[in-house]
Amino acid sequence: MRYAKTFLLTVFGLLYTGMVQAHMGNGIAGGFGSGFLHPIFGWDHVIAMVAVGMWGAFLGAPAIWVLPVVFPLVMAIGGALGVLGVPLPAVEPGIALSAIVLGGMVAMAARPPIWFAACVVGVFAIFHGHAHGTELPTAANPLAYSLGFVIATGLLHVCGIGIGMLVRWPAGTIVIRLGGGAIALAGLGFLTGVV
Amino acid sequence: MNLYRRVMLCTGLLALPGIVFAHSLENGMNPFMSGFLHPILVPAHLICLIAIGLLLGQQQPNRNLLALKVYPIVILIGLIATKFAVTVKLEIAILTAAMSIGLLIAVSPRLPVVWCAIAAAFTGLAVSYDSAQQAQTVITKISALLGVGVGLVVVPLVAMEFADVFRTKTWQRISIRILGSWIAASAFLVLALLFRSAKP
Repeated sequence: MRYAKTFLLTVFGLLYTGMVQAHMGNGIAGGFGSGFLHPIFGWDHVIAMVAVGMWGAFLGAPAIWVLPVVFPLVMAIGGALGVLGVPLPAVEPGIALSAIVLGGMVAMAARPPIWFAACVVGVFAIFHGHAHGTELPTAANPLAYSLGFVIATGLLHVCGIGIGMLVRWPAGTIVIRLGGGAIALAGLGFLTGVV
Repeated sequence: MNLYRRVMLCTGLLALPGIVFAHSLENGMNPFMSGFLHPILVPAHLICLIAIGLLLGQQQPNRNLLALKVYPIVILIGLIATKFAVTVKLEIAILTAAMSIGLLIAVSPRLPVVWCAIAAAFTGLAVSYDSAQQAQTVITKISALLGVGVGLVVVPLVAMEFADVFRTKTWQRISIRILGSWIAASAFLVLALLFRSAKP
């Protein structure tokens, strides 16, 4: 409880000092803001990242922490490919497919070996990273931009993990599996262009 | 939490409110404060300093007294060396250090004490040498460099205490490792961008 109070106080302090909204988002602030919003404004990114967190929570330890640690690193590889202009075929369909596959894994309550889950997530991380990385060269401040989208992606994972914690209750498991199904359907909608 | 750690966290919080992006560093800011904010406002320096702080905290500060002794010394050397500055692009070295240290935080091995000391020395020297301050008078320059020195000590110190405090529970240790992966990923992306820019 004491650590929680300290942590909350620290977070409050960090949030309190940084939010000067009166100015246009140029330079470091603009770069961070653009990067942070990039995954959030893309619903295909959002649902796929939440699905990663949900699946991690569903799989339990060590997947619940391995995926959020490994994902940014593999995503950075995809991002580097985007930055270097290395073409990756069907990036947007790949992102939509990630929502279908990851949502489907949650919906079917799939519990494969961790190495398999890590490989599946890693492959899709490259697609997501490539999509973010292609925007990096035009960012106001590239490092701030990359920090922004990496942090936003991580926070989406945390959201998914938080939702995935509902597995502790039988009804929660049903809710999560339904949520996974909804994510998979949404991914199908993105892939077919319906959404 | 003991009093010492509370003081360190409060110091970090009190230091942060100074980030007012509405003003340039040259206008309306004394040179010491300008120097103090320099490591915080240069993203490459900031993530590198946070990374080394998190690493030392993760590896336990009590084990790494050598790194804690070496770090301020190399900062002093680096700041003095800025007087004789030859233009050297250190951004790649700093980002590489940030990426490497971030990876170490993510993997979280038990590192030999010497390795931590070397990482701290390299980080301190690179960031301090890259923090040359332009000033019209000697007094102003010294004041600014003093501010830089204080900033270079405060930032990793706060990060170190944060990592040291938040390592008693599993989720806290995982959170530190996630922060390390974020730092490594961001640094790697910018290195790729620099590589692309350097290509003919």
